[in-house]
Amino acid sequence: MSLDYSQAQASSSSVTIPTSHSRKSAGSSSTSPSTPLRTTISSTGFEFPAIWNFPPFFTLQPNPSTLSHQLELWRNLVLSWARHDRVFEVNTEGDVGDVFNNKTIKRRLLPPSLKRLMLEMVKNGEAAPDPPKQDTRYLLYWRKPDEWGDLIYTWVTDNGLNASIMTFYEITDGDLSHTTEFYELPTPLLRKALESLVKRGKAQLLEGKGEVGEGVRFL
Amino acid sequence: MGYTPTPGLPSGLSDRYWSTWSPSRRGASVINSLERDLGEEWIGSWNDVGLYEGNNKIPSYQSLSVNLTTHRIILIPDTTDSYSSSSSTAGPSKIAPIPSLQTHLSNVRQTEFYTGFMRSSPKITLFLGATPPSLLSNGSSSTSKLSVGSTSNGNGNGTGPSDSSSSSTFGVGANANTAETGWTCRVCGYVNSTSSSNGATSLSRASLKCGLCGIPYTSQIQSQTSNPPSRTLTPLPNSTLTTTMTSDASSSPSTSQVDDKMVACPACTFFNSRFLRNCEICTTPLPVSKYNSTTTAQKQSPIITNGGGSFGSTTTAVGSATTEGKMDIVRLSFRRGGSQEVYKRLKAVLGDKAWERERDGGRTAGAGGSGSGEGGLGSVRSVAGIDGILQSMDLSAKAQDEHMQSAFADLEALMLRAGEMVRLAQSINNKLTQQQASASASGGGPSEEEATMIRTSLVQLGLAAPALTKEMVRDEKRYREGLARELGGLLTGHRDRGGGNEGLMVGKKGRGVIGLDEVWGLWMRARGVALLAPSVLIEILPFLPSHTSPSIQSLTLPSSLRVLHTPTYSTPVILYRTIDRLSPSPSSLNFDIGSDEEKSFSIFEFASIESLPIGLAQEFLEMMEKYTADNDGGSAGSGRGLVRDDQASQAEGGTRWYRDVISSWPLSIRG
Repeated sequence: MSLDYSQAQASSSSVTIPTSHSRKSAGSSSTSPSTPLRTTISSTGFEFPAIWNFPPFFTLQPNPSTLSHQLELWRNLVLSWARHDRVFEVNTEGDVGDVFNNKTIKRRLLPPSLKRLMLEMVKNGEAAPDPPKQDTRYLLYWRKPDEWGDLIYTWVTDNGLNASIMTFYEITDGDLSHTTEFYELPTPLLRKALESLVKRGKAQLLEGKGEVGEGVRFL
Repeated sequence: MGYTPTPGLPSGLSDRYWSTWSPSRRGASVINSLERDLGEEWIGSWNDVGLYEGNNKIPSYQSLSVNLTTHRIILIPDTTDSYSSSSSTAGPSKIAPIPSLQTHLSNVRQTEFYTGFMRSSPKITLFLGATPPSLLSNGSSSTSKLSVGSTSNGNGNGTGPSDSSSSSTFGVGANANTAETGWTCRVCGYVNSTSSSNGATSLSRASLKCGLCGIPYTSQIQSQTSNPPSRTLTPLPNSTLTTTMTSDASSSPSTSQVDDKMVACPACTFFNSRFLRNCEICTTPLPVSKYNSTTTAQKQSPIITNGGGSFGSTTTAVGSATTEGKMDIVRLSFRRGGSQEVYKRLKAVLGDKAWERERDGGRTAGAGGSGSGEGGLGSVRSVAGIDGILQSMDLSAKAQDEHMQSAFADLEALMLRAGEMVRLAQSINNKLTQQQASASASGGGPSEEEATMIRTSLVQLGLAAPALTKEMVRDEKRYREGLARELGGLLTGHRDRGGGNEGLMVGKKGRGVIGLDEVWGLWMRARGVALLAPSVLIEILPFLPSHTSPSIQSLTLPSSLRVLHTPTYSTPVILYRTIDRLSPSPSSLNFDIGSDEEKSFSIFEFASIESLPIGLAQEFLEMMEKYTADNDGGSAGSGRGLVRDDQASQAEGGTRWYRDVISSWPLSIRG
C-alpha cells in the first residue's frame, strides 16, 4: 500500500509537527499561509493536514467563495483518507469516519454539513448514494468503478482466469485476491465495477443460484 | 268679575300675573329694555295679535305686537291704533295711551294651541297661574318649598290675622273664585265638585275625598283645579310631585300639615309630629308650624319681589293684591299668522325655563324680601336626599373644572413665552457670531471658550441656532446640502463655528457607528423646531460625506438596518484591523513557544474591542464574513476574510471567528 496523501512533503515519524513548508513559503499564494496549526498523524498512519485542526474547517462558511474552496479541500481530504484507510462507504448519520471527527479540537462535521459535502462529491463523481435516491449511505469512489473494473480485469488476465466463472465472493475475498487492492471491496461497488466491464464486453454477469451467489464470467 | 280693574290693566286681567310695561327709557325698543343681568334674551315679536280674556275680546288690545323673551311675554299695542278710553285711568308708570302689558313666563301654567277654523284666527291660549313662591323667593330648584296656589285655599278659612292691609280684599276674591271651581284629585284627575263655599275650613276640606278614587283631598292640589294633569300640554315649572311634597314656612300651616299635629318633611314627605324640629327619617330641618303666618302679604311677597325687584315697573301691585289661585286664561289671536312659530318658540322657552337658571343672581334680593316677612325661616335650604347629592356632585365638578382651567392657564402662559425665548436665543447667537467676527478682526470681545460655553448652554436648553427650513434656501439641492451641513455639524462638530472637533461621532464621547434612527432622533431634538421627516434624512445621506470631516458614510447592514459610521468603521478598515489582530506574530510560529492554535475571538470580545453594541457587532461580523476583497493578490497570504466556528462551546462565548486560512489553503495534488 502506498501513501497517496501528498501534501507537499508529509512523511514524518513525529506525531505532530508544524508544517515546515508554511514557514518556508510564507507570502506565496500557492502554499498554505503561515499558521501555527500542526498536522496530525492518525492511528492508521494517515497524516491529517494542518487545516484539519482549524476549528472553522468543520463549519461550512457563509462566504460562497470560501465555502467552495473549503468543500474542495474537504473532498480531497476525504478521498485521500479513504484511500489510505481503505474506506469504501460513508453513513452520514451513523458512525462516521475519523476524518469527520477531530477529537483533539472537539469538532466534527455535523450531518447536514456532511450531506452537503457528499452532494458535492456526488456532483464531482467522487461518491454515489447507495442504494440510489437517498442521502444517508454513500459509496466513496476514491477509485471510480471503471478503474476498479480495469484493476479486476487486469488481475484476472494476469492470473489466467479468463473465460472462467467466478463468484463475487471469490473476487473480493478469495484466497487469490488477498493481495489485491480490491480485497474486501463492497458488493455494490464490485457490481458497479463489473457492470462497467460488461458494458465494454469484457465480462458477463450470471444470476446467482441458491447459496452460491452471483457470479461473473470474464471473457 | 266683581272687582275694579287695577289701574293700567284692562278689565279681566289679574294684576297678579299682569303688569304694565314700559321701555327702560323713553322710546327704547323691547330689545333694549331686557333684564340682561337676569339673562333675559329677546326671541321675537309678531304683529297683529288680538288679546282675549277668556272668551271675551279686550277691545283696546286688538292690534298688538307680541314680544317673546326668554322670561316674559310683552304685549305692546300698535301705536297707530285708536286710543281707547276704556283703559284711560292712568297708572303711575303709564306713559303710552294704552299701556303695554307683560307677564312673566313663570306664570304660565299651561298653553294650548288652536289652529283656527273658517273665520276664526289661530289662537294661543295661556293659562296663567300663580308662580310657586319657592321658585321666586328662594330660587334654588333643589329646595322644595310649597307651591303655588295652596295659598288660596288656606285663605279660605279666614282665620289668618289681619296683619296685612290687603287681607280683606283678598277674602273677596277667594270667595268668588273658590266657590265656582271644584277640586281635582291629584291621583286620578277627577274633578270633584265642591259645594261648600267660603264657609269651608281647611280642616273640613282636608276630610274630603275624591269621588272617584277616594284619595283624600290635599289642599295643594287645589291650585291645579283648572289644570288637571291629563291636560298638561307644556311642562310646568313645578311638577305635581314636587307640589305635593312641599312644605315651607312661607306657606300656610294647612298646606304642610295633614292635620294640626303633623308636619310633612320637605325632603322625604314623612309626616312628622309638629313638635319635632328635624325629620325623623332624614333629619331634614322641619318647617316650624305657624298659625299666625297666613297672611296675604306673605303669600304675595314673592310676587311682589318678582314684580318689583325683577321688572321694576309696577310697584303698585304691593298694596292691591286681590287675586287668588284661580287661573287667568288669555288668548292671543294671530290674525296674520305666525301663530305656529310663536307657539313653537313659546313651548321651547317654557321648557327651557331660563328664568329659573338666572334667578341665582336675584336670589339675595328675593330671599331678603320674603325672609323679612317670615322671620328668616324661609331661607332654610334642604341639602338632604338626592338633591343634596346632586348638588355636591355639581360643586365638585365645578371645582374640578376650575382646577383644570388654572392648570392649563400655566401651560398657555408658557406657550406664549416659548416664542419669546426662542427669539432671545437667536438674538444671543447672532450677537455672539457678530462679536466673534469683530473680535477676530480687532481682538478683544468674548473669548472663544465663553462663546462656546454660551452656545452649549443654549443647545442644552434646546434653543440652538435656528434650524434650516425650506423657506430659507432657494432650491432643493441647496436645501439638502444645507441640511447635510447642519447634520454634519451635529455629528462631527462645527469646525467653522468654534464648536471644536466634538460631535456625536468624533471626539471624546464620539461613537463610530450610530443607527440612523438614533441619528434622526438626536438631530430632531437638536433642531427643536421645524422637524423633518425621516425620509429627508435618507435623502441627504449622499451629501453627508462631503460636509463632514472625517467624512461620515452611511451603510446598510445585513439586517437592513442603516447606520452612519466614521471611516474607521468602514468594512475594509475594520476587517483589516481585525485580521491583523488575528494573524499570528512571527514568534508564535516557532516550534517551541506559542500555542498551535489560530487566534480567534467571540462576538463579545469583538464588541468590546471595537466598542460596539452587541447587535451592531453581530452585523459587522456578518458583513466581514461575506466580504470579498477586490484585490486577491494584495492580501499577502494572510486570510482575506473571517471564518466562523459554530461548534465552539458556550463557555468560549458561542460562535468564534478566525481569520480565513481556508481560502488560501493549497489544494493537495491528488495521487
